[in-house]
Amino acid sequence: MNQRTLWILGAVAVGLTALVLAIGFLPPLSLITTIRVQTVASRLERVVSLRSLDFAQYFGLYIFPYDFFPETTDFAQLRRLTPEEVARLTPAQRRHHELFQLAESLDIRSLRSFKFFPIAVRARAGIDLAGQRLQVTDRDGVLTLRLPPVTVTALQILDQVLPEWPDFPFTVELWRRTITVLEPHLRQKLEEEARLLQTARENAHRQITQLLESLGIGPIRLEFASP
Amino acid sequence: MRPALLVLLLSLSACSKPLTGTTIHDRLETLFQLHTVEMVFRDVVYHRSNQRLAGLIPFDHRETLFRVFVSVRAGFDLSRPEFAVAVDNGQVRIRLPEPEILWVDADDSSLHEYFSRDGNIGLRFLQEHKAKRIEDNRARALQMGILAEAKRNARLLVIDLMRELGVDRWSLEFSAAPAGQP
Repeated sequence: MNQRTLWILGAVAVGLTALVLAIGFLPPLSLITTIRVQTVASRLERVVSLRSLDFAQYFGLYIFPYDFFPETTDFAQLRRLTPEEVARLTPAQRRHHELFQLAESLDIRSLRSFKFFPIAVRARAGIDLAGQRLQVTDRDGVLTLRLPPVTVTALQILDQVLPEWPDFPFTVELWRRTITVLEPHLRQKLEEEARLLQTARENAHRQITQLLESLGIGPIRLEFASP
Repeated sequence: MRPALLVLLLSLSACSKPLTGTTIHDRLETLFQLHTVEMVFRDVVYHRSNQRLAGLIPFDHRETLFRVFVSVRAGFDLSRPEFAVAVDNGQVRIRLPEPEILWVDADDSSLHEYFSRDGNIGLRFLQEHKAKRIEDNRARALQMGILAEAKRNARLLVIDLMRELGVDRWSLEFSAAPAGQP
């Protein structure tokens, strides 16, 4: 390749680069226009009295399907299960199989396919005092206060728009079905991996003990009922 | 030849843009919040989108009608310094901060699609729509007096609690944050 050719190539490269940069500053030129119309009818459905205390909150991001299946999961093997074999699965295996069926309905054919979506969640844990009476007993001069169990009081799928992540082709019904299937699995992850309930229980113990001691009630032992 | 190569290399390197992106960290934090009221709104949404080629030829028509419930909860952030419980001359004095909205969420599991014509609207649209519904219903709940309802329910809760604890003399007040504090 002679010097003249190289200079020409160099000039072309500079020209193309300048063109790309210039286009970046121009308004988008598109032959396709999109018109979107949306109307909403909103109505107050009900007002509910609450008596719940929240003691911990967790923010996290999960990726479906990767965070919901072990890496060695073979979708082809799951696909070969007969209805009779599915009926014989244990409850834990059936929940796992339900996730697989969800993946299939979303056209996610394996853990190697480039199809996934993020789920950002915010969850809270605490106790619900509605309809409960405080149970106070005195054992050998020590007051014992029995409280309702610490549970996940709210689970929110966050509306965070993550522009860098690819979009996923959901219909409204498919998204509803996805969240309905994933919600119990998310709750389990929050309890086991995120230690949400344990943190809420420890904080509840600390806050309620301080509160009662400020009322001159003590010494006091707190017990949380089992879920 | 060397200057030409240099120009070529510089041009190619000028095509790369700096790395951009978002990092999301998970976090676990303690709270101390009392929820005393919830307003639930039912939203029915009609969405239609058309794409047109050169502004004239319509294609890719999508249409959907669906319903979702939005929950707005209000109560009291007991981690605020305004919250105090003390015994003064045999009387229990309770001071709560002013009520505020503590939680707003559009319940995805409550989504119900009435009809859909190629309603593949995508996750991003659903998230954008949800954010809008949350903000609209938060404002509506405030207009409809959710904070006053939160105070009313708090008073009823304290009455029941004092009765169960056998406390006869008590008082309850609501205190706003001093000026300059959130």
